[in-house]
Amino acid sequence: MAQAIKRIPPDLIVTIDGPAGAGKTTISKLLARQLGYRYLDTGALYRAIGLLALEGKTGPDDDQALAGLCQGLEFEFLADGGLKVNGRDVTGLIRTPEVSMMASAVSARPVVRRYLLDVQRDLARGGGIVAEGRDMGTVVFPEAQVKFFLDADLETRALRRYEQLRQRGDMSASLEEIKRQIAVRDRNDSSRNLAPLRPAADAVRIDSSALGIRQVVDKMLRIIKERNF
Amino acid sequence: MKLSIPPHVAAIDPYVPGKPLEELARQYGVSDAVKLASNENPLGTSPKALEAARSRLEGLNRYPDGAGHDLIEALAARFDLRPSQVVIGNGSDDLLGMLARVFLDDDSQVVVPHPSFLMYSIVARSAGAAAVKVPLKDLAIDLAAMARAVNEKTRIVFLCCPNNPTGTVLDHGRVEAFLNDLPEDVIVVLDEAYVEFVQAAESVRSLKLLELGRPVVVLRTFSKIYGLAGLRVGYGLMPEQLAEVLNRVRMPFNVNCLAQAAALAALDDSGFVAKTRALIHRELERMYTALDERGIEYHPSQANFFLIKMPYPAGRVFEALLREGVIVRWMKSYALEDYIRLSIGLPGENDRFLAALDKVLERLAEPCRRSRRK
Ligand SMILES: Cc1ncc(COP(=O)(O)O)c(C=O)c1O
Repeated sequence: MAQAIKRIPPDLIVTIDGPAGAGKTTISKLLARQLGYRYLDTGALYRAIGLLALEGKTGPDDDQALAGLCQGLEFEFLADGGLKVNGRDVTGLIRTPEVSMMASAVSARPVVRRYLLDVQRDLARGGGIVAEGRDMGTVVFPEAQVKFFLDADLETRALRRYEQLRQRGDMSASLEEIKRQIAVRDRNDSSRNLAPLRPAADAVRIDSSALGIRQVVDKMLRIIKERNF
Repeated sequence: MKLSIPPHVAAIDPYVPGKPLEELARQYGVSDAVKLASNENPLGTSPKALEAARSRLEGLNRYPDGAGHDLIEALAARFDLRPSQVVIGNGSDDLLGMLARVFLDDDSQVVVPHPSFLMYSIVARSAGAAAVKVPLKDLAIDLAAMARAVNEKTRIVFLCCPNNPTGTVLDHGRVEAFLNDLPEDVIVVLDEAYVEFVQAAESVRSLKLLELGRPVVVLRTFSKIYGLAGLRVGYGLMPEQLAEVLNRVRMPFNVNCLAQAAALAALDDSGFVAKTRALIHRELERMYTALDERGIEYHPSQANFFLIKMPYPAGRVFEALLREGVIVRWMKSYALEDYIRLSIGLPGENDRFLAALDKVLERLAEPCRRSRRK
């Protein structure tokens, strides 16, 4: 087994795209550690821009202001998965519902996407990275050597989301409501013009509905090992 | 043998767990008994967890991942925390032990609600500390009285939500106010072993408390809703500085590799969690109705167990139920002498309890006729 791991080059770009609730975050992190790779949480970048826009009272459709806000930003991912922007640790600040909403709004703006495209490619320079997001394999890293599209059925994703919210103490939404929200978001995600959520032509699709986290990671490792690089 | 046992250890009343099924078989010759005494998951274990544990059986010659990386990473992602805020334990009671080892000595005190989970006092006393017991008010934790019991020697305040054995929850706003009035260096341990069963929306949102910049430790477990009590795995969520010191006294391989693998898979098994929760809520309602019909007093609960007040001496009811092959918990050691605590089981098991209770109560009501028949 040790030999098999050695054969995986140290500088691949592995992309993991998929809808919310498919288990992307945990699986990407665990896969990155198994490979000895870095983990690129691209959602956190959009959240950071969302945070800055909120703090600067920038409207989510004020492209000029957004472009100004993006100028000269320095992103640094920390070893524990945290994020610093211009030296400030924003890890705890970017997970609020307000920032989520703003992140979603600014991610629809081409100026922001264009800017973060370069940032993401910059952060991935040298390879050896697992990049998680929604357009990694299609737009940001079309040349990535390994692409996964992680999915799960609507029922499973809704249940996971419901459970996550509940365990965080948020009992405001019912399972039915969450299912409806996810279905709407699925439709928007796959039909929008700007970076629609879809698997890259060369992506391996994995359905995590019936699999445990570890099983998905093992499956990905197996697929990577079987490739000839 | 001559042993010199420190007096604070000699003074500890040992924890008495629910009677295991095997013991009942030995003592009473009852073989098809049902155990409704330890708040376990009646549906068994998450199937995903079982499969994950099975597939880990190969590597048992190797030590587990001492840092518990994968599990900690997954828990951090679940709660949007940093991995450095998560500490895993051999059951959540392991974390109680760590807290006591780090923060308590023979000059310190803890404040515990009473009755509540008995291990809080036991770990405190094993570290030589005094446990100040604050009585419940209407079977719920009395935050105002808890606050009054805090003094300059207090190191830890234990809260349990839902409270074992009463099944009551704490109001979020009140806990926040309680925290704000507390001296800043007093640690608040919020034990949420049963949090996944809670139905009341106003109940404390523990993760919000972690944002207050206070020394708060949230304890959770895989023993209850995930059905992994036998594997022993629980976790604590807390500020980084606290996690850092707990990890210093944590045994490096405290969570075994099967438990780590199973817990990781269980965390993702929302289907099993939903099924368990639905069963518990449905059966709780059904049992309330059944007891209402019998005119027996009980206390509705936010957990997977509830208290039932016995119209006859509860110790005798408990013993008689044992002979009928139904194990419940008599609450004498919890200072609720008139109560038994029933853990919700499968519908058939709950029916067994009801039938046995009917039989036992009828017999106790007519002791003369029974002795004549004998
Ligand atoms: C309130 C409470 N806390 C903690 C525990 C211990 O759980 P674990 O199995 O994780 O040690 C229990 C178990 O019954 C409990 O009732």
